[in-house]
Amino acid sequence: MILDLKGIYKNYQAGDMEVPVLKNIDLQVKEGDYLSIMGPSGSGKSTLMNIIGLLDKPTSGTYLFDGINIADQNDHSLSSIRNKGIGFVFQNFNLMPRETALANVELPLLYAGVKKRKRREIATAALEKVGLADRMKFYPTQLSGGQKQRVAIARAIVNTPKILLADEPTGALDSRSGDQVMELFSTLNSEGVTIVMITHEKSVADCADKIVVIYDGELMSLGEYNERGQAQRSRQANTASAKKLTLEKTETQQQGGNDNG
Amino acid sequence: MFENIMLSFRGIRSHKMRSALTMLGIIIGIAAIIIIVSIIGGASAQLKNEMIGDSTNTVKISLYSRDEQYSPYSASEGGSIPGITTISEETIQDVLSVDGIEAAAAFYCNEYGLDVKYLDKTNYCSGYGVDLDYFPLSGRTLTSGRLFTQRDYDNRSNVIILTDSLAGQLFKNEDAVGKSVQLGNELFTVVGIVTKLVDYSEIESLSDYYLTIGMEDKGAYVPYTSWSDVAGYDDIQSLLVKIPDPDNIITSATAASDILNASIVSDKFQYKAGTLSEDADYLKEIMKITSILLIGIASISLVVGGIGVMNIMLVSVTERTREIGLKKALGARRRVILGQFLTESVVLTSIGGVIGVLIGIGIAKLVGIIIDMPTVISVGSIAISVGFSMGVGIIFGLVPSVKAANLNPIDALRYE
Repeated sequence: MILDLKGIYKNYQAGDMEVPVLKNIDLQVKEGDYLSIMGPSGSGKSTLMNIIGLLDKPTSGTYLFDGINIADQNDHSLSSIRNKGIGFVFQNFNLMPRETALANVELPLLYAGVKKRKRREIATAALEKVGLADRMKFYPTQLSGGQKQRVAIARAIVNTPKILLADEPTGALDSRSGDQVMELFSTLNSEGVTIVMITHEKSVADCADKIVVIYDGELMSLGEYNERGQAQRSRQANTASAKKLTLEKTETQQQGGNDNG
Repeated sequence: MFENIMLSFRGIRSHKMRSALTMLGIIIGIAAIIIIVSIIGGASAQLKNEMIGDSTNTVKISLYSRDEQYSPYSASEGGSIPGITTISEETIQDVLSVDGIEAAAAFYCNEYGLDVKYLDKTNYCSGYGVDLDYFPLSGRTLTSGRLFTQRDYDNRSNVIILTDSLAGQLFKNEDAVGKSVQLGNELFTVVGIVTKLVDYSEIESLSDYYLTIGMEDKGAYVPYTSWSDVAGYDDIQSLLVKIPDPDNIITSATAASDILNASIVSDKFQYKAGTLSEDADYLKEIMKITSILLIGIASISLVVGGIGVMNIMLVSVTERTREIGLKKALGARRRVILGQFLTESVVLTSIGGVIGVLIGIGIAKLVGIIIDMPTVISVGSIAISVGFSMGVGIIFGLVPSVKAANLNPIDALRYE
């Protein structure tokens, strides 16, 4: 099991109030999985992503990353896990603007302590893999959005992480570039890379093998979400029609009154 | 480390104006310190050369009146002083055994009290009766002719060596070597001309110092065996001792004086080292205080420069919050972030320091030329200045760097 989250809660302090953002999250991801986490904005999906990515700590609950209990780790070893165990892909690429594509991809290797020549070799291979062999010396400003995201993906996979963590990877891309990124994800997954992707777009989420939904801080299957959504919609519809009825009634009464008057 | 330095250079280059202005504070501070240290160093080197001795580090030990300030030469005019004898070879050996004394030469001396004649021209000069060891010790060097030989002493030859300024006045453009001059009542043949290597002076007070530097260097040297023909008496001698380590000058010269005093019987006169007067010490003390004060003021500008560095580093950390967050997400440890910003700060101040040193040396040289004074630019002061500017970078870069290293990665990533 690469990710094993049990009973994860996360509260944020807003003034005097504790605002719960994640409620009792249970999530397991096995090696080779391709999982989408869907959810509307404000549902807590970014918070979940940060916790999975070891950028944030849960308020309570246990989180085992590749069998290691995160709660026991200090800053140093968390950095090391982020470096070698997790590859991040962000919505807005987050490339270093003053560095070339190659230097950007080399960055995680630098933090892993890989020697310069070896670094160059591995980073070049990663860029070739995402189809940017001819753009290695380009700066981010000289690349298109899709190319930038592919550089970011090369950077994410360069240390052969346990998991690729993508937060709205197509959010800032046109549909064609988005499709290319999704194709790349599928290829990587077929080669054995474990992927967890967060998105609010159903069409993007559909690329994954499995979809879960986070709604109002709770994690559920797509089916549950749809049921719940249906129930809610019908409830809303019922209330609405009830209101409408009452209104019509009052109106007729008033009209009647006027006629009388 | 190397990557950090390259990264810093790139960062500095991408903000040229800002970096230059930030460096300016450090440049001014370091340049000011270098200028002050160089000029004061030059001044005290000059003072030391002219007052305490010279680069040959010789000190003259002469006879002085115990209770009054007049010179023994006037007291002994017309004859010898009872109880005072020639400095014996044994006494010289005793002096040579003193710690720090490398060489010694006894000589007779009559300062500015002798007439020297060539044809119809008369001039005054200081006369010296010297031995073979005198010239190597005295800081004088031969420009033409020859020095004395053992034969001159054995034969009591009437040979004389003149300083170049005395020869110039007597002979104008003629070649002096081979000509005869009259010193005292005797005729001497000029065999050589010497010049000052550096200013060897015999100075006891500041007023003497100003008098002497205004005086011409007119001296005539004869073999000590011929001195009695010049002066008529031969018992008062001075001793020239060489003390290579300037720090030993006082103690060694005092010890030598004590040995000389033990060899004479007189309650009126004593030997004293004509060096390191209290005035000179006082002047050096003033210089020291002045330089500490000036360096203090320059250091304030360095601190102000350092605050500028801190300020700009804090701005830089804030600007690069997202970058820091990203690096942390990619696995950069706290130490890596700390190192990156600290390196940038140190590189910034070190460049400032090096530029400051160069500008400082330039201005110090220029000032030295304008006010006609030597400047001493010591490697030590340069190393300390550059080291100091690095230190400023570390001290004032620490707060921003720690701030960067301690940023929470998600807060940093979320930062807009």
